[in-house]
Amino acid sequence: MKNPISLTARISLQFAGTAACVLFAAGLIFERVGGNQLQEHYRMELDGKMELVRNALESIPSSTPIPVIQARLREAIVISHPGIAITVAASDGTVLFSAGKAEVIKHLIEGAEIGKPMPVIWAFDHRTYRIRARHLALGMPAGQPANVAIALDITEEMELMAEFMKLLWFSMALATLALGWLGWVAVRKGLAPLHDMSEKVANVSAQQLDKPLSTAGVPRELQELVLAFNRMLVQLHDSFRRLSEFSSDIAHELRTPINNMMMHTQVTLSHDRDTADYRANLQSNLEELERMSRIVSDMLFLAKADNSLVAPNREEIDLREEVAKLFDFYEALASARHIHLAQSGTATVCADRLMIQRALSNVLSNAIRFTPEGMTVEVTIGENADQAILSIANPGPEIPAEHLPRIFERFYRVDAARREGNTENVGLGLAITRSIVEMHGGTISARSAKDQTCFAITLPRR
Amino acid sequence: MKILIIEDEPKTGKFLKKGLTEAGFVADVATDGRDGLHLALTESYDLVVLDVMLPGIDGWGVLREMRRAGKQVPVLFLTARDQVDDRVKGLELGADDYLVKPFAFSELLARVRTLLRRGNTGQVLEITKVADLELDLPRHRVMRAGKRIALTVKEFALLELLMRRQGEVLPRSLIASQVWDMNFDSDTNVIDVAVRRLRAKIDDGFDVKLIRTMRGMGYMLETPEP
Repeated sequence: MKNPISLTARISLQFAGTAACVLFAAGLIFERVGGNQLQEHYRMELDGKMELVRNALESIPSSTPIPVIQARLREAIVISHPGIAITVAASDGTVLFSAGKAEVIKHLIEGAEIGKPMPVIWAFDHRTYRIRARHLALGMPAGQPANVAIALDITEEMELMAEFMKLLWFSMALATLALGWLGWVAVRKGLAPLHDMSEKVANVSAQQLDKPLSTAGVPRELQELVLAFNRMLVQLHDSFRRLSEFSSDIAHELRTPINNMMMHTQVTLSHDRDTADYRANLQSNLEELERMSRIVSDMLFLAKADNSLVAPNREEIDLREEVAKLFDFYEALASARHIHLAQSGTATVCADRLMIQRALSNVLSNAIRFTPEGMTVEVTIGENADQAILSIANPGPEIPAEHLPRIFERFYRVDAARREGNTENVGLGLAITRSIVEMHGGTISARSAKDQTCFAITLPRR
Repeated sequence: MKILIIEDEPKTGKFLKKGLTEAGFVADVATDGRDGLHLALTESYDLVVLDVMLPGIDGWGVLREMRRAGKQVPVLFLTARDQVDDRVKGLELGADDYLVKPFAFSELLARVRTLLRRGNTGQVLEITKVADLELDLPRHRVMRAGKRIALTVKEFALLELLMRRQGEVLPRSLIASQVWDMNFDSDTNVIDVAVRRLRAKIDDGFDVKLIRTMRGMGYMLETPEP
């Protein structure tokens, strides 16, 4: 993947680009309008001159000798305008009047400019002229047309204008660069909270997962991001905590049987003993090994379930039948303590028989374990449109409310002291049950009140 | 009875051989798939214990080749991965049973005996008397020293299992599976309680105790040595 361009560069470039476009357009408009204004000014001036010429020519009586006309024209037009050239020619080509530079006069007399679209611009000898030429009626002889052409030297103005435009474009280019730079500075400043945030985020380490980023001083646009990040931190912290607890739990759970085995074996080997002692040692080791083996395979099951590596082998199962079978299985255990097992209701679900057996067995054995002698464990099965609901209720000591949400966690035991020395129950049963139930798309919950504990399991019927 | 063990872990192979030999079988060990397949195809065995993870040809390959060559000898495969896929694959390829490592040796022995017995079911039903304990299968009755003992259905099933397989150590998981159809490892002592109750009815009050607890392994019913 291409490395994406930085946010600062992107915004600065966009800003500089936009500024350049605006300045360029402004320059173009200025150039166009300025040029037009200038040309309009020339046009008006030329028109004015032409009017003067027309007045002069018309008002002159036919008897007036030409030199007088010349003098008047010179007075009216030429004297105040050194850069101007003017020719007045009769229709037969006779030049009645001319003033200005000889080359310009020559060009004007040729009369090529009459009828050309306006404005007529003529460049000659590094100078620029604007020309106005037209037929005018002469007063003498009456009605005879004359060709009048006026050329205005606009070289200085045009050069000034070009110079000015050059300056304008140059300063605009400078302005664009300056705006680009200013934009970059502004963006960097504007994005500073992002940098601050990434620094803060970079400083989050595994030990500080419980410390959320502060939202104080964070701009409104980033608040949501900080909040989302904090939510993620909470989840991470939770998983991390569980993972490290899990590791220490498993180390602890395995350490006990390993310790037992080592001690027993060392003591046994420290003296010569008879066969019975060795046998007892081996048998004891075997029991510990079985316990470890069970922990390992349960953990493996949970780990795989966590990573969705276990696929339930679904078939139609009758929950009533499964519960009856489990009751059969636990009958000996229950009757030894005079505990009565009762079930009611029925439902069918599509699930993995072995897993469901295992899940229910864990809850049931748990219920029997905590039921006082002579009491009853009750299993109620029901169903609605899309769920089967199974509840397993037993009388017995209440599970304190603060423990309830955590009893499905691995190795979690309500009574921490029971962790030690209890060889039968390693505390994975309910975790496995939850794992199985959730794998099937169901839910499990527990409530405990008034000396009665009840586990409710729902399973989709599908 | 001759058993071929194909297992690349030397310690596991050695102990399997020792255990099976001591249980009265003749056992050969092959340490890779190629040797194992060669032995399985050239020698005559009553059962093959096959590890799935093998160098050379893996367990699946060995099994496939054996079945292709027309060898119908029962195969018990051992796997470290208890995934449904593995089990299904093994059974589809024609294996007869499987065990997930780590397993108890008594469990393996029980499975081996079950598989070997599968071929000749005839003898099983005939054993209905051990010492002075009699099992009347058709009438669901149990007598000890001529005295009738009342048993529940499950107690009867448990006793029947122990008697049919007298002299064998039956691990708890096998008992749970055969008597109650509970096919998972329960961490409760249900089996112990059930056996204790059966023992109270069968052995209490008699000098000769028939049901023996094999510590760490399971239970066994046999006539004690005089």
